[in-house]
Amino acid sequence: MSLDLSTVYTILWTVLGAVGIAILLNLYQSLRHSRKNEAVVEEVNVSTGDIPPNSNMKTFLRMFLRVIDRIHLHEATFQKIRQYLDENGMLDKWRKHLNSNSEAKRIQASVYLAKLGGKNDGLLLSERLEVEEDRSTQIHLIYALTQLRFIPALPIILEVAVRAEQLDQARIAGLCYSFGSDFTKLLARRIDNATTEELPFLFEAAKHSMTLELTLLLNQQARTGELPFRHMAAKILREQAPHILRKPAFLKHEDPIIRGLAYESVGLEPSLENLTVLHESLSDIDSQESAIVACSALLRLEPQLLETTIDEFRKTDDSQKRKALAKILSFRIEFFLQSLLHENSSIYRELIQEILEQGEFSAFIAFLNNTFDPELTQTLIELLLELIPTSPGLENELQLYLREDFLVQVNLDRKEYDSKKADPEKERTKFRILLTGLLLALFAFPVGFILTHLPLAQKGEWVMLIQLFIIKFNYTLIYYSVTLNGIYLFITFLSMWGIRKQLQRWRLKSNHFLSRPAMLPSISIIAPAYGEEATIIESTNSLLNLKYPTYKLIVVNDGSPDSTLSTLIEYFDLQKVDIKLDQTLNTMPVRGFYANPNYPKLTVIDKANGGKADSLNVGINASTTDYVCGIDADSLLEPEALTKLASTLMDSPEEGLAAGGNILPINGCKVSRGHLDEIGLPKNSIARFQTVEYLRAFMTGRVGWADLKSLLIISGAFGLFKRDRLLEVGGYLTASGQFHKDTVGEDMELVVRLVRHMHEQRLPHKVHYSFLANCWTEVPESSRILHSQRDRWQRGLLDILTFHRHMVFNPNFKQVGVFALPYFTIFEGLGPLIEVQGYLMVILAAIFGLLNEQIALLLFISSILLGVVNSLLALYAAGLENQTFSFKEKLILIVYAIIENIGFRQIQLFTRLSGYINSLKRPKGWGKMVRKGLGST
Amino acid sequence: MEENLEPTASQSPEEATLLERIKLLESRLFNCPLTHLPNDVAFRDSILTEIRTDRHSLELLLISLDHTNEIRSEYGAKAGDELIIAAASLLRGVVPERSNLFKMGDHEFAYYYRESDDSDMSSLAESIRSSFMNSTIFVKPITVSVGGLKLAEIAEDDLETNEILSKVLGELHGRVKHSKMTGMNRSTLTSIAMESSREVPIVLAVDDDPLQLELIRQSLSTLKIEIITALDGDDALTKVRDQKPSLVICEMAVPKRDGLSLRRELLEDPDLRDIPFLLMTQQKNPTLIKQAVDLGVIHILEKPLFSLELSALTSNTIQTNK
Repeated sequence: MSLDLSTVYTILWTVLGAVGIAILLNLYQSLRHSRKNEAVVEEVNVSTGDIPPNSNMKTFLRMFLRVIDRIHLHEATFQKIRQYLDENGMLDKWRKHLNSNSEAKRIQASVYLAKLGGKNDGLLLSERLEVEEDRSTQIHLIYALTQLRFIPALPIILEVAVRAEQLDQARIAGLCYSFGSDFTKLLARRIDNATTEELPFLFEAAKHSMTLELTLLLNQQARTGELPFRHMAAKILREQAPHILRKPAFLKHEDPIIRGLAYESVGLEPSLENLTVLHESLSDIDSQESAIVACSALLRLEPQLLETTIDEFRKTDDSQKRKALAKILSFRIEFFLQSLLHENSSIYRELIQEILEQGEFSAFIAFLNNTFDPELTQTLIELLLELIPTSPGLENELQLYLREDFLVQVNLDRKEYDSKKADPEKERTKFRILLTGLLLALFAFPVGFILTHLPLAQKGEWVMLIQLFIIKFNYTLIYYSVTLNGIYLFITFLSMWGIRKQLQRWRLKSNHFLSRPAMLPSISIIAPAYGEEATIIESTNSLLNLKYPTYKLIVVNDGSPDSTLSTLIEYFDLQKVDIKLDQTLNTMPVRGFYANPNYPKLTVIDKANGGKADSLNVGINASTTDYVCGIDADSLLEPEALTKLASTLMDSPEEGLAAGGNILPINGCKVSRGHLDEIGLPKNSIARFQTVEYLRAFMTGRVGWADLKSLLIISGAFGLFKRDRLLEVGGYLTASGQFHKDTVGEDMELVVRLVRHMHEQRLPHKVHYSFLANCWTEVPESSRILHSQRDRWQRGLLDILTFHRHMVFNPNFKQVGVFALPYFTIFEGLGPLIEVQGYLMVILAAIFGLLNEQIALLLFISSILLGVVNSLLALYAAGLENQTFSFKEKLILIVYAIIENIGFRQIQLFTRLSGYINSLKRPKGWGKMVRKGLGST
Repeated sequence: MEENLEPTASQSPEEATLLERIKLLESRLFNCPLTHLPNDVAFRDSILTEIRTDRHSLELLLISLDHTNEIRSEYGAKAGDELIIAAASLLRGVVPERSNLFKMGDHEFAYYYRESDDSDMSSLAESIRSSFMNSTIFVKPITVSVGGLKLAEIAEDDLETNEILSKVLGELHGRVKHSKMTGMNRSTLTSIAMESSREVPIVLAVDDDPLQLELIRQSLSTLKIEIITALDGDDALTKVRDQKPSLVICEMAVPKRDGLSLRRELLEDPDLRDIPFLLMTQQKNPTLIKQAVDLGVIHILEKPLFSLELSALTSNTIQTNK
């Protein structure tokens, strides 16, 4: 067990070689970026049929794809290019590649043949489709067939579609409609004797467009079909052909869900007659919620009918129905409040009273806060004084949100906001486990050493014993460090391989391909906001302007004490709306939904304070999309980030469970109106160290972990999750949720629980990582805030490891159980304890004169250089698709990558150590970070 | 004179009742019974006094509710009255000096103030216009047409105060009428004059993809037009304001302000709302089409573009809007 100088030198030279290669890669890249401007000119020339004489075939094809994705070429130009490619043997090469063993090659061939192929190629493509197993390749083949309009392939496509999973069925249905009547005729023939296996695909087809035959099928299924088809059919009818659901057969259906959907369809067509129908349906208790939603939708479409509903309220004695009517009318509470000044205002007074009794206070308070007419103010204050005793909860809300001068008038005091903290019960077990970990890390080695060296101890040769101990310990540390660096290197190599593959796939996905209906899954972005009045408009605007075909934005106001909600309402001119909310996940109560038809993507939810995870759960409940994407309200997405992230989901044969993207520091970037105008390095050196850290962790780490199917960290600032799976596992961990437990690391915990669930159900799945999708966020610039952030991260990690301890070293959870979680336990969880001892031992060794300075120094340099290799490769990866950092900025970052080893690293080590110690204490809160706001950067 | 009307201890009870009735009558004469604002008689009175004090720094606004007749016929006369009460209440909150607010004819309000460093007529008119447009207190959304006048514009020294007043009222009504004629929900704050037309039409193309912009430029290269480009919605808005193009071709998904928001912004500016607007998108869908049609977008082009379609649409639109 010895380490001689020559071995150390070999290590050093190898690492130095790697540094050299990484530097060369970066130099080459900078050279290419500087030629980028010429490229646009060349690309425009491609559109006129100029074939650049000296460019290679690969570059030319990439330019050609980019051009035809934007503009159709003239027929003559197109034929000229096609002939040129054919003469160079390209078309034949792709035809051969269709049956290659490599998926990448098959996909590439489909993409090019889609644009350049002829009728015969349609035949080749459909023959390949018949035997194709990989789902991603299937989609690309079908896209190619639709581009070539090769109709004979339709029966094969249908065959594939029936066997595909739901999201793929939607994709295929969307593609098939470009065949026009040939497709619908074929469907019509299939419908007559459709089997249960074929129904899901037929339904997906109906979601895109309704033919007569599909309408008949859905009508019959919604009436008499089995579950779940009955409900599926009725839901599609409500979207696509609501007039059918308005028939008595559905309005009087025995299934309350069908009745509810029928009511909602009635609400879509405003007329006095329909309103009367809905007024009656309010007595149908099982489906009342739908009736309320329908009624308010109708009134919003035809405000003239408002009087009718007010009349109905006047006439009704039934208290249940009065409540429902008040709920419907509550969206016009401002009008009623204003009308209090009129004669005969008694009915409005009753209405307002009923609305407030149901806990709908926020609109009232907001209205009052913004009233300047003294007469009206007086009336409202008098009304409030009357209502406070009868409306539970009103007093509390007033104390929190009412304007100061009015608060005095209603004889109340301002109450300060206090957020409720959950009291975790499982702390005891966690404490025991962490203590055991601590003792093990401290004493396992000494005890083991003494046991193996008992004779020496009996002889009482203590000095020798201690010296031997120090030497052995130092060797153990070297093994520890070699293992850790080995893992890093291994992951880095995997990542570089994965990055190359990912980039190749991404470049083959044209805008046209990605924007086909349902090609990218529908996504709800959920942005929790707490006290963000200064930045909320900017970040909301930014999130509304993403380049993604089908997404919704749900801003969840987590009971902010400031004017976050009213700022949003005012800026986007939002109205209160009724939405039927499935309370699948338990959360704090929701106060209201706000929307504006001019911004169809945006929904704002107001809820009682419950923390970030609780807000995310509310958003998950409220969304109806395939995936949800959690994001910090103060982070900024690049316009194409969501597209890049979501498009990775179709790259694997397994179900895309979740996907994460890069987080990068926004400090130092130029931002205006929520858009990243220019990327730059932070001025502050603490932030610069973090830039290096983030780049290394994300670019060269996560892709590798993902390819090992071991990715467990998806940052809460930017992560995509499959909604139905989230509901299955109970959403984010909250005190009010299923597990009655709070955690400070809710993002990682969720991934671990999702993965655990999938393994337990034996469902193939993958957690993806896109190195192309960038999210920019503010990082701490002061060491105090950085310390509290890292302390929190460490506590979060330990919390998760103890909570999911049964998964660690458990082969039932495959790579996650035997590799990822043990890695986190040993190197991330206990790592700080071991490393600190390491520093101590090196110092002790130096004191005892046992240290071979030369070896120690060389090893130290090697490990720094290894970090530099990682950093260099990360920079290379960051610049692959677009130029992220200039050459000068790269140099600065490399300097920081070297000096971080002296000082910064050690401080982080102690922070993580303090996180461990703090975990043994009582739980702390979030340690909210003080932000400067995007506008000021 | 007012002092004499005050009831004093020496008056008999009959006298006091009489005086009270006179006071009531007087208040009816000078106040609008519906809104309790001072009426047009009171307005003339106050303005005459103000003109006598200083005729140069006075500025006036006339605010006229649009669609009142429509509401009366749809919801009944009572709703019409309620509308006016609500409007008065809203205006009280918007204007800086409540006592200078008057109720004029059937559905009009007047407001005057002295010019100062922090007064700006166009921003006041704009805040009135937008607060009506965005208010939810009415039975249905209401807009106003505004006319504004600075006395300095017309006050010549040799005019009598009475002459000035009638000239002021005439001009104010003329400007409100101009606001109504040009589509309502807008303000006219200067005398009504003609705008000149340009020689070479400008077309603004907006997309965040430089290659796409180059390809559009190439497709339109045969037309006799000047092409300017913008990479995001904000930049586009500035360029439309500065250069008043004859056509805007805009990608739906551009940063900072998407295509429809840009269109909405242009519609709110009376000078820019008639500029024809073409939208580009990767994939049309019913929601987008509905929104675009509602905002008066001429056509939605799907990418990849057909250069013939683009150039024909461009030249046709510019021809018809000349």
